[in-house]
Amino acid sequence: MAVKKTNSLGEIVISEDVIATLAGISAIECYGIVGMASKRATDGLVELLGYDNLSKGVKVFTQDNGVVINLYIIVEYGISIAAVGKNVIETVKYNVENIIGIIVKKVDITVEGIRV
Amino acid sequence: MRLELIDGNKLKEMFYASAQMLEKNKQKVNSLNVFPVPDGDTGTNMCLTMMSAIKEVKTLANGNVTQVADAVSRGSLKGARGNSGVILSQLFRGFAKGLKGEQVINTRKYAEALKAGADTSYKAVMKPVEGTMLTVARITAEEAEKIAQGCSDFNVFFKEIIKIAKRVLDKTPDMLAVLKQAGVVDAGGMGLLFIMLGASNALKEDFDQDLDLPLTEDEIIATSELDFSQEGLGEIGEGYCTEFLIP
Repeated sequence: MAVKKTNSLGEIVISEDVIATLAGISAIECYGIVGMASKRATDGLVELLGYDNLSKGVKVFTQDNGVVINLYIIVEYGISIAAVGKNVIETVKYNVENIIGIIVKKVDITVEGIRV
Repeated sequence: MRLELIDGNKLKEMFYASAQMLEKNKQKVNSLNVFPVPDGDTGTNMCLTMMSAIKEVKTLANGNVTQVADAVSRGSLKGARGNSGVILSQLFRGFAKGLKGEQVINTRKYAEALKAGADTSYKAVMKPVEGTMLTVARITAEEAEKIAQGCSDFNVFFKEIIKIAKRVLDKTPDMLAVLKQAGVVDAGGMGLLFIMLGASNALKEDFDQDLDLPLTEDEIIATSELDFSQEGLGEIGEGYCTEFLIP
C-alpha cells in the first residue's frame, strides 16, 4: 500500500519501496550497523544485504495517516545493541519524516545477527 | 616534571579527569550537535557513557593498565548512550585491546592503543563519515604514533596530540557540509577534545579525584595554558533549532 499526499492541485503517491529504501539507507548509515538482514524462506539462514537490495530487510505498513516500519538488522559484535537499536529508530524516524514528509507511527527493530 | 610511564592508578586518574572535564563542558558540546540528527544531546550522551565507564573502574580495588582499560571498555559498552556514546565505547574498546597484557605503558604504547581505538571505531560502521569524531580520533592517533617516536615525556606528548586534535576539529566543517552550513565544528570531536584535555590534567601529581566536585573556574583556565585559545568556541550562537518530539 502506497502513501498518498494530496493538495489542491493533485496528489503525490509514494510507494512503499521508496519508504523501505530510505529507511534501509538511514539504518545502514547508523553507527554499529553492518548490514540489513533477510531470512531465506528455504533454510531460515540470515543473509547480509548490502546497498543494492537492502529494502529486502525492511517492511513498511501504512496505518491511518502514517507508517509503521520494521527493520531487520545485523550489528557489529562488541557494541551496545540497545544503544544502536535506539539510534536506528531515531534516525529512521527523523529521516522518513523530514525527507518524505509522512508521519512515522512506530519503528520496530529486530536484530537478526551479529558480525564477529 | 617528566612522566615517562603510566601505571593503572594514573590511568584511572586520567579517566576520572576526562569525565570531570566532559561533565563540566557537556552543554557546550550539546550546542554543537547538528549531525546526524540535530537533537542536541551529544555532550550529555558522551558524559553518561563516561560515567558508566567510571562506575565500572571504581569497582577495581587496584589494577594495572590492562585491567583499568578493560573496565572502562566494559563500563562504556554497558552504559553507551546515543551515537556518540557508542562510538566512544568503541574507541575505548580498541584502546583496551591495544593495551592488552601491559602493566604500565610508555608514550609509544599509548599511541599504539590510540591507533587501535581508532581502527576499532572505524570497523563498526558501513560508511564512516569524515568530519566527525571518527576523523578526529583517527588523525590524532596517526600523528600520535609519530610524536611518540621522538617524545617519551607524557606531558609534552599530550600537549602535542591535543594541538593536533584541535587542528583536525577546526577542519571538520570543511569535511562535512552540514557542519559548514550550521557554522559549527563537530560535537563528538569537541567531546573527544575535552576528554583529552581532562586526561592531560591528571598528569600533574596533585589531582583531585572527587567526581562530585566540579572543576573550579581557575582550574579550567589553568588547563588552557596550552598554547591555543578557546575563545572561538564561546562565540558559537544558535545555528539551528532543536525540537523535542515526545511521543
